This record gives sequence, C-alpha cells and structure tokens, in this order.
Amino acid sequence: MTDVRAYVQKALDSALSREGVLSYWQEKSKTEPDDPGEYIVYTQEGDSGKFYANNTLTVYSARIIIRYYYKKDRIDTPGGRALVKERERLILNTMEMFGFSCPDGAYDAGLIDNSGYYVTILDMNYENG
Amino acid sequence: MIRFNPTTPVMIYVKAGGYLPGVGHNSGYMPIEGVPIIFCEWRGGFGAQAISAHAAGVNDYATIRTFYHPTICEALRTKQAAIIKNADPAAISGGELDSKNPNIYELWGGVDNIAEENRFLEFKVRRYEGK
Repeated sequence: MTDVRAYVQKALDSALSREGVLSYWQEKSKTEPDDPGEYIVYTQEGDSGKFYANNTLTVYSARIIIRYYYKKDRIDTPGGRALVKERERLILNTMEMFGFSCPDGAYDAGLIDNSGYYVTILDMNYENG
Repeated sequence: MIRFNPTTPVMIYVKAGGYLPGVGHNSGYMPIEGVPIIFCEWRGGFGAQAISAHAAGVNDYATIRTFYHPTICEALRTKQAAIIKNADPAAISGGELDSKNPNIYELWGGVDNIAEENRFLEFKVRRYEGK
C-alpha cells in the first residue's frame, strides 16, 4: 500500500523544490533558514477504510491538509499577489496530476499565530489501495 | 591571569540539515568543520548550586572552560549543539545522539567570552536526556 505522506512529499517536490519552495511533514524544520519567503507544511488528517473485499480492507481514503505559507508582505503588490495565486494553482494542478482531489479548492486562512506568514489551505483526498 | 587545567577531551557536534527533493528534510548532528577534539576544564556541579539545578529539573551539569575559538563560539551561540565528554565515540551514530549515553551534554545558558579578550570561553552544560 502506498505511503501517502511520502507520495505527497514526492508530488510537491516534483513541482516546487526547484522554485525554492520546500515542503515539510508536520512542521517546518528548525535547522532550515528561519526566514524563507514561502514554504509548505502538510499533515495527514485521516486514513479511513473505504472498500472491503473478502473481509479485507482494500482501499483507504486518505485526507491530506496542505498549508502553503507565504510572507505577508507578498500581497502588497500586484506581482506578489499574482505569484501567490500562481503557486496555489501549481500546487493544485500537481496534486491532481498525482491522483489527489480537492473538492473545495484552496482557501485563505489568514495570519496564523501572528507569525508574519499568511496561509492558504488545500484539503486533499486520495484513494489508496 | 586565569588559571585553568584543560585535561578533559570533548567533541562538539552541531545540528545541521539538508533538503533532498522527493524525500524531504534530513538533519543530524555533525562535527564542527575544522574543529577536532578540544581540551577543556570540566568542573562538575555540587553543593547549593546542584540543589538549585535539581529543583529546576537538571540532574547533572558542569561548567566548561576552554580556549577561545571563533568557530566554536559562533557554533555554540547560533546552533543547537551537543558536547560529547571524553570524546566518547559511542555517543553518536549516524548523526543521531544516544540519549542513554551519560557522556552527552547540551548547552545550558549562554557562552561567555571571558572579559571579551578572545582568549577563554566559559559555558555551562547539562546532561542531554533526549527530546
């Protein structure tokens, strides 16, 4: 069965690591530079059983939350806002190419914990057999 | 003139990380580049100070005094460091600290460049008990 988190890491890195946007499971690593312009954190919110065959669970339905963090001054210019939207679109398209679905699309979560970063959240689903 | 007797060998490891696309973040403890084993004066804690330290949850601590080295000073001030007493080779393996090894200590408090003379460094350490 696929390790969903490793799959998410591969998917995000395939499109974003060369743009300098790094992805972390659970939390951003403290050994990386403290002040990146943008980064991603993903967490798994569930991995429930969906289909059974011969009393055995054959398909899981995983739920992954992707949080895209970007510096809050990025939205002060039209170019910055366009870049944020482009990143969100890139994350969405890449994950859909890797078999994830995002029924509700991306949504803004604002400034979390007054950290200096705005957050965009994408709630993704994946069926894993 | 400060008198001290540096007879205890220690190694200092700092936590460093790298990112591998497709795999993610990877971090571990690495020795400081260009800094092999250093000798220091190791003064263990006892008496009233040890009792206050114990009240703060610190079971084993020591004060280290060594020669000033800019790389060591900068590493201790800016990075997460592990101090390996007696340069114990069994304390660290594959970049991971063995939390059961009694020779691993971590920085406790600040680092003092004594009198700002760039001659001696002094800092306190406490036993590393894992995270």
